[in-house]
Amino acid sequence: MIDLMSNLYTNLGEYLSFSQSSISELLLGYNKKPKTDEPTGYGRWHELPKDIMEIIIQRLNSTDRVRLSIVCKSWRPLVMQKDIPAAPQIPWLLLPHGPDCKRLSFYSLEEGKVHNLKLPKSAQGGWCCGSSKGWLVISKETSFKSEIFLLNPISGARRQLPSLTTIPSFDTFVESLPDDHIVSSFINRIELSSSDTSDCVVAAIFDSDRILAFCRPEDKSWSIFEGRDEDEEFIYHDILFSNETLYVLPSRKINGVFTAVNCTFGFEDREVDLKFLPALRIPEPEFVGAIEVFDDYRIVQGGLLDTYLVESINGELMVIFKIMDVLQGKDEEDEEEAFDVQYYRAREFEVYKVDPNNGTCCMTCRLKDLGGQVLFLTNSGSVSLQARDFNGFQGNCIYFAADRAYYNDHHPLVSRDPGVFYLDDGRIERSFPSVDLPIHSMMSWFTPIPW
Amino acid sequence: MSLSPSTSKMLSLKSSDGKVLEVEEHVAVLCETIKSLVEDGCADSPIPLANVDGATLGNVMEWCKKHADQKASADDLEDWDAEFVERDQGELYHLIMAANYLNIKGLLDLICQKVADMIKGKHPEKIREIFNIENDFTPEQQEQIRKDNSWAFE
Repeated sequence: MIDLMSNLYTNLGEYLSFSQSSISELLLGYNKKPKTDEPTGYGRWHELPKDIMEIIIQRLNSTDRVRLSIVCKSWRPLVMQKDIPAAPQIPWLLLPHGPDCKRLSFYSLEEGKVHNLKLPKSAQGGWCCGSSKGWLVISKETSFKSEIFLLNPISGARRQLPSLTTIPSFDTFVESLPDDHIVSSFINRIELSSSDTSDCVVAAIFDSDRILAFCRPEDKSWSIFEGRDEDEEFIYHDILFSNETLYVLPSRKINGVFTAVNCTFGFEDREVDLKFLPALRIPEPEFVGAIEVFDDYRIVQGGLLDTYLVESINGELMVIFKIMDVLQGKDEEDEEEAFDVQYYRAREFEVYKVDPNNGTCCMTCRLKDLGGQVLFLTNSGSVSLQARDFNGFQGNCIYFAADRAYYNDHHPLVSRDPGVFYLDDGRIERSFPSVDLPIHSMMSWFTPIPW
Repeated sequence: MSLSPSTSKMLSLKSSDGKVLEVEEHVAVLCETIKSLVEDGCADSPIPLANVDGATLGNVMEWCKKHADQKASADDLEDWDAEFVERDQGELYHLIMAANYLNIKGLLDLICQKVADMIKGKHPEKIREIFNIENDFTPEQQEQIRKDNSWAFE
């Protein structure tokens, strides 16, 4: 075998003619940069071997791969191959929209431009109420009937999800809705186990964070996680799939000792590993609590809190609190004259690391430094990236958006909330342009996947 | 080139256009292909490298020499590599093919990253121009793909 190889090399060499005269010149020129007039010529790039092409395209993000796919015929099938993952990319920000829109607008921070994606006819007239792994969750409703499905706005692919009517508490929820509320407010969060919808599990939080349910795309009904015993009732703050395990960030409605538990939930012919984090046993961040009271409204500093579960670039879990100032107003028609939320704005973020060994998260795990990471945070899923991989982005900061939908009569027409929080000095920069925020709409981060 | 026969044996490499290059063994074995020949004891005669021309072989060995240098720091190598890849696309093509043939993972990754960087953020016309690629789609196909992905070409 060895001899065979040796002979092969020798014979190949003999086969090609060569002149000895250039040897000394070559040796002398050994350490010099090659001259530009050396006859290398153009490369035959369109014939580049498949394995080399794969090394190149796995370094390109989805946007670049779509552009590359129409350079020449030989590249197209390879470039659009879905088992070659796209390189990380700064997510686009889905801008708020109304249900009558024919296209969705996404802001690309990297390119500094808005991409408008036309909605297929069948998806028009719906609300986008979340996104996960390249898919948008679209809810369409006609007089209290609700249809929800996943839509990849890049490829146009659509996957039906079971009707919300298969969840027992849905009818009660709908009946209790004030007139101007929409059914899709039943959906709090949707998370896919992978972008491949032929083989993924969809996990969802419904009904004011009280129901955790599962399905596969095209299933007939949602399967509800009933808890490990009847007395358990949770508020589910956030969920996150990591390595096929669903991490659940709950808090109990009743006080009690709670440790991280693992369990398996089976539905249809699938099983999902669940890991409950006891993260919310840490004291909630101290609200500033100062209240400025005016005649018909008041401002409560730190009056609202959102909780996020985020995976770091190293695969560690983090719990993040977004603390908001709230403008509350009195409803003139309300006889009790109770204050309700009219506007909110982030004032601060706190980041905690979840202990990978026991799943606990305590005050000592507070992170003041995210290292080189930049986080993109919204209620419909968050992304962490290495800032140095992207031009113009610095680490140790959190990009956030107006990710809570407003459900009141005095919804603001314009939001100035989106911005960047810098962990090193706690400052917030609001350099995004103001956005119109129609009632019930919200912003979310979205990472395009073109296949 | 200073020879230090006591520390490193010299190997002869013969390029496709017949040029012979004398290279220290510890430098040449960065090429896995050459390393296996050396380990199997097949590296005595000039080693014929049928798929690599002399100019490209010189460039490849220049990279190997730098990366075989134990004294070079990681930062130093990074700067040096950044300058090394500043070449026209023809040279890069031959370097990629040579790095693949000689099985030098570090060099292959470096050049592939450079090519990816040359593609990033560019429109298809520009990519064709940089890499001298012919557009072989029919106008109808081209139009359909553009229509389906109009956001990418705004």
